[in-house]
Amino acid sequence: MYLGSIFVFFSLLFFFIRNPFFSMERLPDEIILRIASFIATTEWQLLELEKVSTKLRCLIQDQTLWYQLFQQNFKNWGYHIPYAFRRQLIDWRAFVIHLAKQKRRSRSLTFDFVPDEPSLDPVINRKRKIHELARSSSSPSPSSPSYKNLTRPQEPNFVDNHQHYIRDSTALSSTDDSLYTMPDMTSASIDLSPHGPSSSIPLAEPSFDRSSLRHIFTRRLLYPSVFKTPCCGHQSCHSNWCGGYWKASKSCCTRRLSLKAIRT
Amino acid sequence: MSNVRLLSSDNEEFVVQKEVAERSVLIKNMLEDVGETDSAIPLPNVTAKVLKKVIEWCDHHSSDPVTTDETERRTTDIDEWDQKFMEVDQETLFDIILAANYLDIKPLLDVGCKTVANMIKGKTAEEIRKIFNIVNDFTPEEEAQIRKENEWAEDR
Repeated sequence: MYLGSIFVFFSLLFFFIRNPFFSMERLPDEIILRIASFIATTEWQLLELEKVSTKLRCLIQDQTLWYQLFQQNFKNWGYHIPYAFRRQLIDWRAFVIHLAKQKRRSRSLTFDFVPDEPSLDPVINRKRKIHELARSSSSPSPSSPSYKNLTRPQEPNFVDNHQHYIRDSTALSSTDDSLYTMPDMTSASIDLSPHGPSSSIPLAEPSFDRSSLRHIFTRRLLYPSVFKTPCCGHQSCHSNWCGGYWKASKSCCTRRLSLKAIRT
Repeated sequence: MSNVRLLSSDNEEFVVQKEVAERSVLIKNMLEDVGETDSAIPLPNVTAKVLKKVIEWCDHHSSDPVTTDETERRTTDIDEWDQKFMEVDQETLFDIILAANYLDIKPLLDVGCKTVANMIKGKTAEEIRKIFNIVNDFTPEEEAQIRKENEWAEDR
């Protein structure tokens, strides 16, 4: 009798505790959502509500709650971004969580001053340094830094190759294509660099100096036709290659002009 | 000033002033539809105990202006009288919320929801379950997954 009454008491107690009629879950979804809308001030609180039960987890997925949270957290930004009612353009939950994560990460950022580096040379001295480097490159010392000895494939000097090519192309009457073959662009036989035929060139060094510019100028006076001969006029040649003037480095014009000469 | 008779689900009758009863949009619409009548308005979803509380609230707030702005309603705090009014057991609190929802008394519904929200604020999932008698119906796998998803938010 005594044991029976204890059993009834505990079963009733269990019923009252477990019965959803006495819990918050008996409230309809719209009211729980309304309650959640008053809680939606931090993402942590919403995420904690999600952990309570499956029903609450489903309800907290509601996008309007997260949009409201976004608007609360970012008042100015949120004012300009409307909630898309017809079609879900933004996953507001994922977006707000992403922003919250970003915010958390930014807490660990340090805003230390960058230390001054007195060892850095002023910009004015850079030009002089390049010049010195260029000079020293002709006789590299073993103690010099490795970047001074950096080499690059030796480019042919434009003026001399040009001249060489003109010499070859004077025989326009000839039909032999071998005459109009391009000069060997990779050959290092011609080098008008002020430091001789050395291939050890600092990367920042210019390829020719004033003397070489003067050289171009004199060449131009000697062979004015080279620079003034108009293009063959062929559309593809004109637009793609020479841009209006015959350049010896391109074979298109030369070939066309030679064929023209043969025909005439 | 005319009176209105309200009949609770347990057949208890309450006589209230018309303007007090009209705080409820449901009753207001009923009165407009039916017109002047002597018969009691039946409210089958509201018990006498809860209806008494609701009438008390409506009587106190009968002269309050009706706020339509959702943001304003959301942001305003519960006033002192309402806080005291809502100091009831959980069951009654939920009943008041349900009655306010049924009778369409938005300000009372807001007060009830805010009270529940204040009870939840700052609590962990486990504490919320304890306060509101909610059963954890997640499987261990689901729980582990949720924990993993929300791991970043653990350290507040």
